[in-house]
Amino acid sequence: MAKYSGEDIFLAIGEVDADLLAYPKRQSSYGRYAKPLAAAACFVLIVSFVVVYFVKIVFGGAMMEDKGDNMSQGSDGFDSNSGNGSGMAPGDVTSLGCEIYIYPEGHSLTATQKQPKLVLNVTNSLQIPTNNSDIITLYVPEAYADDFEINVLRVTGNYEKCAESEGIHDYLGYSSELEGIKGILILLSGEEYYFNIEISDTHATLTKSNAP
Amino acid sequence: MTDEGIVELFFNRDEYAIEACDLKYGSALREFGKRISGEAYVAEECANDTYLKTWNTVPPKDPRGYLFAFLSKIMRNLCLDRVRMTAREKRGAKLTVLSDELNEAAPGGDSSDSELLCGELAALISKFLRALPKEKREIFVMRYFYMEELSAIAAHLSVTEGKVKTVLKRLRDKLRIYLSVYGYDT
Repeated sequence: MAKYSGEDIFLAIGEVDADLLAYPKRQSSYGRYAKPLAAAACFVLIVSFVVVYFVKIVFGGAMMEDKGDNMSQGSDGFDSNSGNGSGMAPGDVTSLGCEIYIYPEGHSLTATQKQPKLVLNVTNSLQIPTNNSDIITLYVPEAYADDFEINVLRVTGNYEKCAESEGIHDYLGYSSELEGIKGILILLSGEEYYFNIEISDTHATLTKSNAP
Repeated sequence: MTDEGIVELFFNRDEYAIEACDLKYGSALREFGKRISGEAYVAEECANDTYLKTWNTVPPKDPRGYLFAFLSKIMRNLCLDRVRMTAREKRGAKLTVLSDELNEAAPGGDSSDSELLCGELAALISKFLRALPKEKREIFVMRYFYMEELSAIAAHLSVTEGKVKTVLKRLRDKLRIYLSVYGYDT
């Protein structure tokens, strides 16, 4: 067996193939961190995709609902910001793309059209500031009037159609005296939505209820 | 001028090839020679000898793509010969250090045929280096061929000095095992 020393190796290194002896190019300090940075970027990207996918799976239904809502509002010239942003189950009032505004008597719809104070939402409890009025007005876009059977609003008080008298063209309004109202029943495309009404000195609170 | 252009000049026996070599690689070669011999004038003389030897060997050799490595190889051997011709005790401390380091890879004794051994070892080391990842090979070559300081290697490759030390230690161990497989006593 051949013997050799460190010096032999040192000298032999001088005889190795020249193509292996290229002097390395200087690496920038960026090069030192390039791999870790690339790995970190990939990790962040993958996590982002996972999170987005997760959010889409969990909240996808609600997001689609909102999207459809806003789109149909836009087609009617409504401000899309006025749509209900909260998640709603299929069959909600707004899922058909309409909004129901409820205002205290005397409130101008046109003045607040862009930012309605209240949007009737079957998932929410709504408080209607009554402004010491004893009448509330419920507006629905006229384009969706056919979807509503407004005349079945079940109230104990007097409820009357009032839109024409206020000169509002795109909405149908229905007013009722707060006094004596126990609830509102809306029939929308064959489905019933019932809201209990509780009246205090300053507010009328609508709460969705399953049974009239 | 590109390496290919310079080699082309050598092939055409154009003496400007030597000037072009010196313009492009002269200072690096002299620096390299100075690292080996420790003397500027020795480095200068060896650089000139390197150009002469290159003139005589290209062609037939064709170092396109690795001209600097080709020149460095000649330069290294010339400088080492020069150093070995002088009194042994005058060898640069650096050579001693590097030889001692490589003793870890070869704690053996004498060889009966040093010329044969050197050729065989070079072939084996070539094979060994070819199998290494690029970065490790660069570290090994910078240390044991170009005789660079650890700190210089670390700075040049943008790695820590500790990493250079560790890589070199592991490579020496690996080389010892590798050579023992091929019948070299370790």
